[in-house]
Amino acid sequence: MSETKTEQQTTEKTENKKKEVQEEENKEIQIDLDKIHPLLPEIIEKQATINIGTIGHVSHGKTTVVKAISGVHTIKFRKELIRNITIKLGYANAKIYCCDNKECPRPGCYKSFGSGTPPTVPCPRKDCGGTLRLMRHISFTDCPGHDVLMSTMINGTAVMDAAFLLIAANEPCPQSQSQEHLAAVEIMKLKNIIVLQNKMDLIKKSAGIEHYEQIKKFLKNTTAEGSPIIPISAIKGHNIDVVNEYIVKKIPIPRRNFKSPPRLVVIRSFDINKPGCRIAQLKGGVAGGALLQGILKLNQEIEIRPGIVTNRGGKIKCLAIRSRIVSLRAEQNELKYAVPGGLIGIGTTIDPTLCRGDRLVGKVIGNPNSLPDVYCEIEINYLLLSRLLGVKASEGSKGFTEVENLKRGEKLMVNVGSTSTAGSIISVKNDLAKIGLDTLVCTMVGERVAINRRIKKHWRLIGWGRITRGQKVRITKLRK
Amino acid sequence: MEGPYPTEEEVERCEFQNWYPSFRKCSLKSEMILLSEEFIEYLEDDKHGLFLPDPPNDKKINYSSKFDIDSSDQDEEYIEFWEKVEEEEKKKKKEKEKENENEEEEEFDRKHYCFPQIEEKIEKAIEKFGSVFPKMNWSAPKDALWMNSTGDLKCILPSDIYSVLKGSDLIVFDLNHAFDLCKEKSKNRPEKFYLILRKFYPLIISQEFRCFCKNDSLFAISQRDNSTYFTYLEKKKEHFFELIKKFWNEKIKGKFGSKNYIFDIYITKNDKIFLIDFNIYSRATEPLLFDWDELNEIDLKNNQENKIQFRLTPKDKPIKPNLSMISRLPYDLQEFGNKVSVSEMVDLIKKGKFDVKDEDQDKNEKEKEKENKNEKEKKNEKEKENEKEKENEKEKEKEKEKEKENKKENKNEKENENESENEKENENEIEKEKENESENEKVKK
Repeated sequence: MSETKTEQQTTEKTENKKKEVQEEENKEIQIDLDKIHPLLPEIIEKQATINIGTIGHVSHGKTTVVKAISGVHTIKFRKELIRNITIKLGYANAKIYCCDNKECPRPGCYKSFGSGTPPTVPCPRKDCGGTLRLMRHISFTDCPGHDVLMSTMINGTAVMDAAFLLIAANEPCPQSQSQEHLAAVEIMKLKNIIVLQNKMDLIKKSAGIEHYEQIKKFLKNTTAEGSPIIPISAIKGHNIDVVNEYIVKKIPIPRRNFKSPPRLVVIRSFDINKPGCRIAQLKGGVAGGALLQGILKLNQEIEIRPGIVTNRGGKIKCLAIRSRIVSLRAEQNELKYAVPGGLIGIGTTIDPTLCRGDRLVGKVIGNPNSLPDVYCEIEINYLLLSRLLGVKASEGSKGFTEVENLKRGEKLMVNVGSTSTAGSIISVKNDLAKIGLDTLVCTMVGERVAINRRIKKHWRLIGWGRITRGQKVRITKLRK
Repeated sequence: MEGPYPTEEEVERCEFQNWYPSFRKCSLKSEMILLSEEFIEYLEDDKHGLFLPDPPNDKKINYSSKFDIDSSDQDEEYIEFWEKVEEEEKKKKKEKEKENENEEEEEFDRKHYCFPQIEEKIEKAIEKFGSVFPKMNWSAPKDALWMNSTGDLKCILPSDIYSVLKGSDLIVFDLNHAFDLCKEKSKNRPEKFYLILRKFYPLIISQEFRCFCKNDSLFAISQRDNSTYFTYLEKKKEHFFELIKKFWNEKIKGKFGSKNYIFDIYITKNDKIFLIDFNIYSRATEPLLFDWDELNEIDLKNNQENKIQFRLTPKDKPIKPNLSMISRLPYDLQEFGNKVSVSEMVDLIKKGKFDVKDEDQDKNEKEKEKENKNEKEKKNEKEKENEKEKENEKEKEKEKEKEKENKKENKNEKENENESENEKENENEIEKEKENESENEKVKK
């Protein structure tokens, strides 16, 4: 009998110890917010903190430039044939290093590698003996990428910290697309622009100089006037080190508010479990997205809004989803905490079925009770375009190009925050409209919306608005 | 578009109503509803935007109050404001009704539709299945799932179905473009359109696969979700491979009719396979983890069963946005930089200071816009005038030049004349001298 008692005691002790160890591991880590900045070595080792958009025509070498710097080939996909669009997934991260040996001549002392490279690398220059030290961790985004564009145009926030404007040297400048790309730069309110004069390997020196002057002229009186113009050959790797140097020296350290409540916008969500696996072995759902502000920490509690929408007793209810972060990732790096920059993957304790098939896309993740309200109805102060964009008067019939007023009962595509939903016009009075949303949206008064109408088999942008008031939905709290 | 090109027959064979009866036993439960031509007209009608059909039996569509509202946190002013607006509208309507005999609700001309029979059938199907997944002859409106409150195609009301059908580009393919894939076509649309309501199942995407067949021979299989890597699939690969081959041999081979076809299947957690759909063997069907050039090149002469290529989505470390998200953007932004005038957008954004305005401010702005327009017109006129002036000047210059040239010519002529006269004179002088000389010589002698 006494034996079993001691046995019991020892098992109790080991159980307790196990619990203690787990509790330690599950404790939310403490961070000194005053010490955080976008160039902190422990951060840039793991995560990109500066977002650079690449703007320019496809054929001018955007993909090649990103590949030359990061070593990553951003993939091309062909979408539905009827629409005949080539969409690129332009996300790639790169680390920029500089040799600590002062003798190592510039610009060759600047090197770039992929995101998984360790923070120090021996300098490849023969007999240098120096060490390449990590200076910047960059996230490249193909611009205007749809989500970047939506978020910028609607939120008015510059998601990009800087931009590469690509212009091919073997084509006359300015091409009409270059004009439009410059306008894109204006829209995104980008101030830090580096112009890359690409494909220098294809032309003679004299032609290159002439083209350079053309570019300068083109940029005059625009946002990009005075921007550095770097002649490069992405495909041959010429002058890429100069680009790296400019990234380090010319792009200012972005301002981030690490103290604001964290807000992550979900762009993907998955259930990673094998179907039919035992409940005990189930792993929580995974979400991925862009952290717009604040910091997310491993093991912290989070809330997702809008949560689960259920139909109970005739009324549709919104249940909050609460969870805990069990893993944080940027690219292939595990993080203890995440700051804004690039895309972050979050492992949670959420019921995986709720995360299946990108179900959480468009929702917002943040600290419990610190997220904006959820609306089922919004009142907007709006402005309509006088005619549809990109449609010239010669195309189509007369009535097509003009934008008609908003109509009661009409169903529109409403882009609010970084999500899209169907909304019905309930009522209109002058430049105010009351819209019933088909999907609940986590948003707040003052946020901008884009309005789109279904015309001639396409969803067309017809105007903009700002949320003035609305009808909130009660969020029922539910522990998950 | 490059090949492969299906025949009209092949395109028709992929219509749900044509293949489902033969494959009912291994497919998911579905109801087929024949759609009236008026319904098709409704789907095509988007002159003024997207509108739902009127509900039958004079029911009215109620947009608000289906959600559980926080009654303690309601904006009283907001509610009152819009109640007033409603009352005003009602008054206006009554006044108009008094004036005219017509009951025109809207200020613009819009055709109203109502489909009591179709709606009844839809409601029956929903009652039978609980919730449904809608599609038409070939396509499901997967690009419009953002319109649905659940973010997927689970529909529980007829209005859910109408919305996604009207808002989808993939449905447009069914309505207008299916036969565009053929090299030669005798028709632009099928004779009949069907609404297919399949019982909604929360399918696990990682268990879906797409199978490619040439000459009635299975030669390629791809994971359906080509943007997500699932660890467990690596271990299951061999097992799934065997299951899929067996299913194809027993249920599909020799039974479909077309030599070349593509079919999608789903494997349940109990290893049972269901046929989801047949797809047209053409570039309009996503090759997923393959490439159409690749598929076209694969030579099946020496193909044995163990040469079937089975591809799973490879491990890709970073998280990236899903391509399907592009459908959540308006066409203009999808084509951004390619067709749309960005400078217009920039102007709008620069103009748009979205503060809450008074009506007066709004009026001022509208007036300003008018002024701007007028100014622009004036500018245009001025420019035209300037151009005319320039042209006039040019002409004048031309004339001047002509004159100059004429003068020059005259001068030249005169000069020439002078010269020739001089020459003549010289000649005369020379002749004279010669004469003199000869005379002198004569004298001497």
